[in-house]
Amino acid sequence: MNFELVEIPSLSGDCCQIFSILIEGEEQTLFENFAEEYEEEYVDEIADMYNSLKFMGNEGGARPQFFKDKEGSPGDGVSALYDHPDKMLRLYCIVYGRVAVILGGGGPKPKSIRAWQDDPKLCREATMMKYISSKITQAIKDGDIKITDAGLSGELKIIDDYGD
Amino acid sequence: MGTKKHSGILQRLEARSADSYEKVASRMRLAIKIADAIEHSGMSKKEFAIRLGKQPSEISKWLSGTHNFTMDTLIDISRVLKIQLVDDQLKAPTMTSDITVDTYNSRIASIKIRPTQKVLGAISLDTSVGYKSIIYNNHIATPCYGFV
Repeated sequence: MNFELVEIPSLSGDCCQIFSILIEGEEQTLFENFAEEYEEEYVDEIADMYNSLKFMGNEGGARPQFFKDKEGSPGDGVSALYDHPDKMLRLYCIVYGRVAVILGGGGPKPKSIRAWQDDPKLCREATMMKYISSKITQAIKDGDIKITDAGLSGELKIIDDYGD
Repeated sequence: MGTKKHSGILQRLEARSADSYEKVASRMRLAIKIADAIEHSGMSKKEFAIRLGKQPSEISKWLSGTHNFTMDTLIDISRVLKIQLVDDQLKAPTMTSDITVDTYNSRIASIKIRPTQKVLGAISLDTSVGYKSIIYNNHIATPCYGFV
């Protein structure tokens, strides 16, 4: 699966870059798909998420306190935007220091589940982010993507040599 | 690689979210202030939680930037961390925008105040800024003062 890191200009700022993932052949990034899917049913939550990310981009940076880092599996780099227990949505992401956030997808987190593995939608989204995280990690190791104080740079299109 | 079609969702979000940005930003700034103060105090988050009689998970919620604090909680946090989170001190009103100060030979010639302006205080002059600012302090002013 080939994909590209696409920066979101309305969210990125001097403190942090905010990206999402554009899968090859798709018309929208994972974050746009997520926001569009839930923008009517969860109007306020989506607005709060958007504003939180905008704040990180422009004022606060991607401080660890704003994320739940025990999402995905240990060490896979997948986090979630901190979701207050009263909130209904979970948004997965990958965070690099305080300077770059890569947004994925997400979905409603039913009160009946204890872990993302228990919900098919969250499981799909988390698994996708784990895969993307592993590819980006490899690209960083290979020197194709660089992380500096300014954020991510380099070759932001990831070609999966082994295909889907 | 596929060509990205420009989506309207981001524009819709930008428009819808503008009114609520300051609320979200304010919560996040407060969370940062508290997190930095905890770090500065030398306390761990666990110790901080114990001092406040809370679970560590509650502290994580506080620091997430999503929490809507009660006044009592902010006062408790302020006390433990020795910082000020609530600005509730009464101060005399300050007005600096409706006055013209004319000077002659480096002395004040006149201070003109808009006739409709009710001044809540006696006028004192802040000489440190060269008579450009005038502070009021519980006195009702007449329309025009003259000084020689």
